[in-house]
Amino acid sequence: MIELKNLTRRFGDLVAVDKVTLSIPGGQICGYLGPNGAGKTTTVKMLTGMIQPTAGTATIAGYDIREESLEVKRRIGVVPESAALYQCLTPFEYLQFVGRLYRMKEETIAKRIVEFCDFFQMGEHIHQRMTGFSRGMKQKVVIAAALIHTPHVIFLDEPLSGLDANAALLLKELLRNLANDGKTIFYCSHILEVVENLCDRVVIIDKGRIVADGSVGDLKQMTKRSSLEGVFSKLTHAEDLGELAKALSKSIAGTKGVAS
Amino acid sequence: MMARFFQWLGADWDHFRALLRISIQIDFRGSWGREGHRRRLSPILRSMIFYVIMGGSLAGSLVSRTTPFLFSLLTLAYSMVMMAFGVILEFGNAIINPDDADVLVHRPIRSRTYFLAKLGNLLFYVLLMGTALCLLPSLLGIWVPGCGWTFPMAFFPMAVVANLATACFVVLIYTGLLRVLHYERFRDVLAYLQMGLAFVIFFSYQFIPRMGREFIQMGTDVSGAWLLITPPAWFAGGVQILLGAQRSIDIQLLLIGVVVTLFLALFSFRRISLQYASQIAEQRTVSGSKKKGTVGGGKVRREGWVGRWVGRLLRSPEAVAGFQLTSKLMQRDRSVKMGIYPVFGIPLAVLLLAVLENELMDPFAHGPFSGQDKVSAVVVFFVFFMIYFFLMGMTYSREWEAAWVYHATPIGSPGRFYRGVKMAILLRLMVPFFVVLGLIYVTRIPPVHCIQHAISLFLFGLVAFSAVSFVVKAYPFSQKRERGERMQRFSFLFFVMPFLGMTILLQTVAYKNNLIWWVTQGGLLILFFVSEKLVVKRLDRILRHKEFFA
Repeated sequence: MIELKNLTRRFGDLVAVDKVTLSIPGGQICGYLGPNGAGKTTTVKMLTGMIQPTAGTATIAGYDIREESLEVKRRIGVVPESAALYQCLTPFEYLQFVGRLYRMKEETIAKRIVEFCDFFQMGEHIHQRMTGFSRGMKQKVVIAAALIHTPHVIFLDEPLSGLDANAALLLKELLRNLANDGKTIFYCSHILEVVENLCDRVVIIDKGRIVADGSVGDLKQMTKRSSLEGVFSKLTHAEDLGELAKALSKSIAGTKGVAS
Repeated sequence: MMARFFQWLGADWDHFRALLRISIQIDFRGSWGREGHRRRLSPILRSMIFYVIMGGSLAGSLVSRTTPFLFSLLTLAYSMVMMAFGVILEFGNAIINPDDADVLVHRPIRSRTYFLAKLGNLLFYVLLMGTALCLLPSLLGIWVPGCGWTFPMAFFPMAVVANLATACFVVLIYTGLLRVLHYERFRDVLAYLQMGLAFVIFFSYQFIPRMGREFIQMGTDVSGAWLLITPPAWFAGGVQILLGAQRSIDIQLLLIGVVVTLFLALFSFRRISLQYASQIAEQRTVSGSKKKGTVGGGKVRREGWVGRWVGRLLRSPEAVAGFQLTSKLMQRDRSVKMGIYPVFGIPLAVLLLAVLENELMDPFAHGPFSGQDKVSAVVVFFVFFMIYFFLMGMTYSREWEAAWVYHATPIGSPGRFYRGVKMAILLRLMVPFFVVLGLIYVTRIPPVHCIQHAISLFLFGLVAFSAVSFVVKAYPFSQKRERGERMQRFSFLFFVMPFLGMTILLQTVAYKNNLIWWVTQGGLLILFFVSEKLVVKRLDRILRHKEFFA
């Protein structure tokens, strides 16, 4: 479903994503991890058509992201990291707007909106402007907007941020069911526990390059660590974190703050 | 020493420096280019370049024909109008910036420090723009008969004071309103207030060329009691005093200028100071809790009749989406409203003045766009002006980050999407304007001619729409608003004015008889359809591969 071959993106002299090669079949939930600035969001942005690759190729559902970008976009759903939306619209208006961009029939859009509202229990807010919505409420609308057209491939960048425990559980269940139905899910997150429990496969990227690729079990075995957290620290060369924290806490304790 | 002074003021010197430095840095930071790593000149710098050119052009045209007082009067009048308009357009950023609340409200910064930093930023802005506006007039003034090399030293400081007084005047009006209105309500009212102020200022602006013409024809120096109620004259009097003149009228004018400036400065600064502390806290609570709209209980609402009608007319779902989004944001997004509504004030001011001075004539009877009927030519310009301002303004929004959606969804034709945006501008902004225009014209022109003239202008407007679309480079609501951006957009128009001469010439020929008129209108309609096709193709080509950086 998703094929990346030497995918590269440069910003001036900075190589944000460096020759990433990857293949994700249908029905798989692939966790895409990396420290801040590793190139996760840049990869997602390239695959979803927000920015162009500098070099390399990628196909989604058999369509080239550069040559057949419209076909790709018809088949993907995106929950971006920012989760930005037009807040002065109501959820209904926003989802209707997005549905129209996918050229969906008006009746289908309306039906789906009702389904999503029931699923996320936000029926009473459907005609309220989103200006006063909490982060979680907005996130629910963004997730609904990503799924409204039943995409084959779903890209999620920190999809749980702001969601309450019930909504997060609901979403994880939904993603699992969608994967069982053959959808491909590309899941970016910093919450390693969720990735460990949810993803069939984990890809770790550091400084634009893939440093590990396999199931959670494989990675633990490879790095001889007992948790994904340990695997992540080892592969991203951040193992002396405890020492660093100790040193900083000492420094903070020793500094006269404004309150003292 | 400064730290002590600030302590005495109840503010913090270090915080002040940090806040002022960052706000100036933000003002001058150029936006990112298409590739994400190429910088463009900041709008504030581009506005300054325009101001320098305009100030120089005006001063250049006056140098050999005026007296020192008249030269100062006219150039200061121009500078003060532009300054007032600049502060009106950029007020949201210059005085109260809602983003500040998110960033600063939880920091240990005293409201007085914040106020002083904002004030410092405003003064810096005034000084910068004032310098750009008055630099060339103060230098060219050396060659005005009766002036000498001392002119810049007399003129420039007075110009700075005049600009400061103008900025304070606008601030005083705004802060006065803030005292009686709730912040959220104030932000709603602001767009309409800007429109009113633009109306008043441009109404006054029309007097500058008239004044200039009259005085130059008189050939003598200006005098009269009316000068005492003319703000630019107060500061022109000050220039005269600094140049060594000893007319009693100049002394009176300078005194009034000094008193009014002190009053404006003290009261406007005090007003802002009183407002800030409570304002910011209130701003934060309100934006976090206020929920608008009605509760629908999860039921799906039917589209309104306008939406259904436009849906049928536009056919493409993308265009319908563009129409709906633009319509909603024009009604609800304050940053969008503030970007468009003030513009209405300008043509309305010009038209009202034309009615009052009996300059509005039947273009069919009086020789269209001839020496007698200048107003029709001006209206043609304003139709173009508004279409340009609205369409370009629609690319900006506070919620610009939400524009990722255009890049991640399969918009087959961005050009068709834009057709919906244009339809919204046409129906929601231009049609009401044409109705008002028709109502004004019908008081002076036979109804048939009035309708014909309106049709002609409307078709010209459609062609103008297509023409302006050729400079659109971004999806609607996808650009971050920067300080100086509106003024820069406004100033760009002065450069396209000569091209409108061709249109006016075309209209002149068309109004000669009915047959030619019909043929011309048909030609305009065909031109519109052809150019629309080209526009759609162009926008498809440009926007399809545009990258999105947030």
